[in-house]
Amino acid sequence: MCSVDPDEVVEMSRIADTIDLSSGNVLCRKCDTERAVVVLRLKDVYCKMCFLSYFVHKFRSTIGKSKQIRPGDHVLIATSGGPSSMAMLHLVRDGLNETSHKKLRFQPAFLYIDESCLSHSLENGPDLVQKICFQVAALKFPCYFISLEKVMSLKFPIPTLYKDDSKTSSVTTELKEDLKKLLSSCKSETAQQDLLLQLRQEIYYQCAKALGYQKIFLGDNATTLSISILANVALGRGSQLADRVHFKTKYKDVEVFRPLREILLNEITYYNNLNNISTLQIPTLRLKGKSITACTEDFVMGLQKEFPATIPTIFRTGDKLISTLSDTSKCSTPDLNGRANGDTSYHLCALCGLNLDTIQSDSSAVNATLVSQNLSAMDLSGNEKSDVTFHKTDLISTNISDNSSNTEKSSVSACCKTNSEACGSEKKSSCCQNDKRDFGDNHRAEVSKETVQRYLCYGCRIIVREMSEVGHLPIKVRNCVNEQERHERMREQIKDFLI
Amino acid sequence: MLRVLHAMKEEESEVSCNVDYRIMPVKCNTKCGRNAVLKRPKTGDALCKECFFWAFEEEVHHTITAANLFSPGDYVAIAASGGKDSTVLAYIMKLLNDRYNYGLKLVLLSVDEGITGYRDDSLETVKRNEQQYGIPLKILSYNELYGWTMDRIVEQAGRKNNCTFCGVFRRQALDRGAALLKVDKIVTGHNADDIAETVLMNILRGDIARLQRCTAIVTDSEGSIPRSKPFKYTYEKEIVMYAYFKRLDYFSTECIYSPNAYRGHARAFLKDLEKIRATSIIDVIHSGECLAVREGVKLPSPSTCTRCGHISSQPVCKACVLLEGLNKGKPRLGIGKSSKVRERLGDTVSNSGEGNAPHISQANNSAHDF
Repeated sequence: MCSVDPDEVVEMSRIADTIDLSSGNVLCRKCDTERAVVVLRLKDVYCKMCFLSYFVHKFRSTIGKSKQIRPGDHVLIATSGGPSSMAMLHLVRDGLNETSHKKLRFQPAFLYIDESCLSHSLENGPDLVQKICFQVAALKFPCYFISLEKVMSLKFPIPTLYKDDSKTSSVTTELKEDLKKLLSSCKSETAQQDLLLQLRQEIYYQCAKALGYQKIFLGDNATTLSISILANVALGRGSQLADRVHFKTKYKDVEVFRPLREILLNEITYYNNLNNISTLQIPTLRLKGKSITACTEDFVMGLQKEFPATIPTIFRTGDKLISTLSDTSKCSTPDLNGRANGDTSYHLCALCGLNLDTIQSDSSAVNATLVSQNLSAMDLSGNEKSDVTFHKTDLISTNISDNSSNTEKSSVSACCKTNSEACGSEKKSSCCQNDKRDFGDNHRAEVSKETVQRYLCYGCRIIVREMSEVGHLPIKVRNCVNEQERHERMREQIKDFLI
Repeated sequence: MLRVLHAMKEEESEVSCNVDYRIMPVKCNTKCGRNAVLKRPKTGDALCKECFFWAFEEEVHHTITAANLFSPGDYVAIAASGGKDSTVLAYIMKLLNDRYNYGLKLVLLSVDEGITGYRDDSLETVKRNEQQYGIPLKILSYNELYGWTMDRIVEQAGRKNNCTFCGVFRRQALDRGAALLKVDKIVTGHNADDIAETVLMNILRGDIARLQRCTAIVTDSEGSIPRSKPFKYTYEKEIVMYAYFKRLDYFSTECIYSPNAYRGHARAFLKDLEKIRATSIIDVIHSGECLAVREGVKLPSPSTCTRCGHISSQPVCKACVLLEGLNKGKPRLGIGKSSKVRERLGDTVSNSGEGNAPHISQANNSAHDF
């Protein structure tokens, strides 16, 4: 059958000729008096003043119309030194310096995450901290910094406040090594990059908590968000799309805002150029191959060149979407909402901290994948194929921990201490013999891959599935898994008496 | 040599799915004792032919039972084009119906778009399938249903939007054919790749209403015959593998009229994703299943076409608009945004008054005659 969608009746318009400003005599379409210096949307030309007021208005209205930022609010603004961050720094400075009704009335502080541990040029880490924090401090804003590897620590330290004379060199080689081990235990570039995103999200949260902030500003712009929308779908994180791209989202108990979300990257570049704002190229994780996110970026940027409506369309689509798991959704496919009832206190992914999307009805991609894995990894040596009768309950109830020959690995040392009386059942008896296994690291929170996966969302499961060693996961994640596992065991024991 | 073997062993223990078949035979992952002949694109497991067939069939069976697609006694039309998806679908529907006593009465339903050199050949395949699987076949032609063949439409409308005509007409043709046969259900050969592609496509063009609908395994709206996709979680590559090892007879030439360019982008993107991570296809479907529309977003409410009575979000359905354009010698009438179409349609109606309906009712009559 021809695979053309019968409904495919919406034509995407191709690119039209763009206006050339090099002659110098094109006038601004708004004021019609000044020479135009900026072309937006291929044909809209603006002079410097009109463009700047348009740009600043977009930023301010995004914050203003949301009515979420109240006077006196303390806001932690994440900064990386990149174009969006530097534009935001100046927009906030200008906003606070405005007079009367136009003044922004929140109390900002900036936060820089030193990711130098990811790149091989270690020595320029303190250098970058110095450069970026100096720029922020020069505008009389407090600027905190912390290095990314701290996310691996059990007790999260308070980020350091930058002072002119403060030493910015940090020596925590052990955590650095832990982080490197963690990333290198992911086989694919996609998993490394995806994992890094989750760690970044976690460290913003930890910093906000440590510093006592309830609100965080992130520098995501419309271009990066559009790529992120499509990439999240490709990574199996559709259910988290809203939590990752909307203006206001909640991460655990901290509110995250994206005030640059309606501004395109090329507009930010124009703004920075017109204001002589210098930006830094930040070294980050160097990937050998292509990741899904990089592939998505190439795709979106390529399509954008041909079809100029691409990014705005993806962006608006993302705006209208939420997860079927959220209560306010207009869900047209109720069969997918058949979630197991039970207590909702453990509905967050142990790794990324977002809603778990893995409890779905029989007819879902999650279960179809499990069925496929079970069917093609089933041990048939003992019995003839024809004898194996398949009931769907067999396939579904077989959860990840039993689906392969790794069953004996589903050991949690902690379970044996707290639940030694539960060792009667077959699964748990094997765990007691196994708890002497050494993961070769200093932390005691041992977990198996199968156990970890049970407490992860679909997207994080893919990361962990291909990890060579889950013992490298941050200690907090492992503790979280163990705690949930213990709780689950307890529930198992008393479940007959629960009403 | 020893070092090579050693290195291989290491590699194997590290990546169980990365097995190199060229060096030594690999045993089937199910420990059935046979040598593996393929690596499943979906899971990466090495399987022998028999275990692959079995896994493939059981998975489709699981999809059918988990979603309760059929009830005993249902009369089910299999949309058959002669291509790989529908050929394998016909084969497997027959096989599972016998193996698991679904109690279904099956019929092959083909649509003849009237594309010389493409459809003639593929219809021959469907006719052979009728013999091979012993499932009766019904063929409906665009000419009978609409009074136009695709060849004539292309003559009139050009190559640019021909796929729109074909797709819109086919959708209704299946419904009309199914109604004529009085079947209870229609199954189509849409596979996981098609659905993942549609999810991406709908995000790219901002069609949230369809984004929500496209991942549903059954699409049924009031008054229409439910359609389902038993291959919703089946990889296109595995369908080809199944047909290849079963030596199923299918027709594999692209339509002579080129497919839509924009969908081509989504398809190329999905192929790139699949190269990076083989599970991407099912990951995209999972994402699609988890997406819902925010409160306060307007969605078109489904209703029926005022002219022909088929499902339509507009007062007049796309097929009727396109047909009117063709019959009036204005083939571009129904192309483009629905709001613009309504404007143009309003113009022609006010210009020519009433009386556009006869063509449609004529088409209906001819369909009833068939």
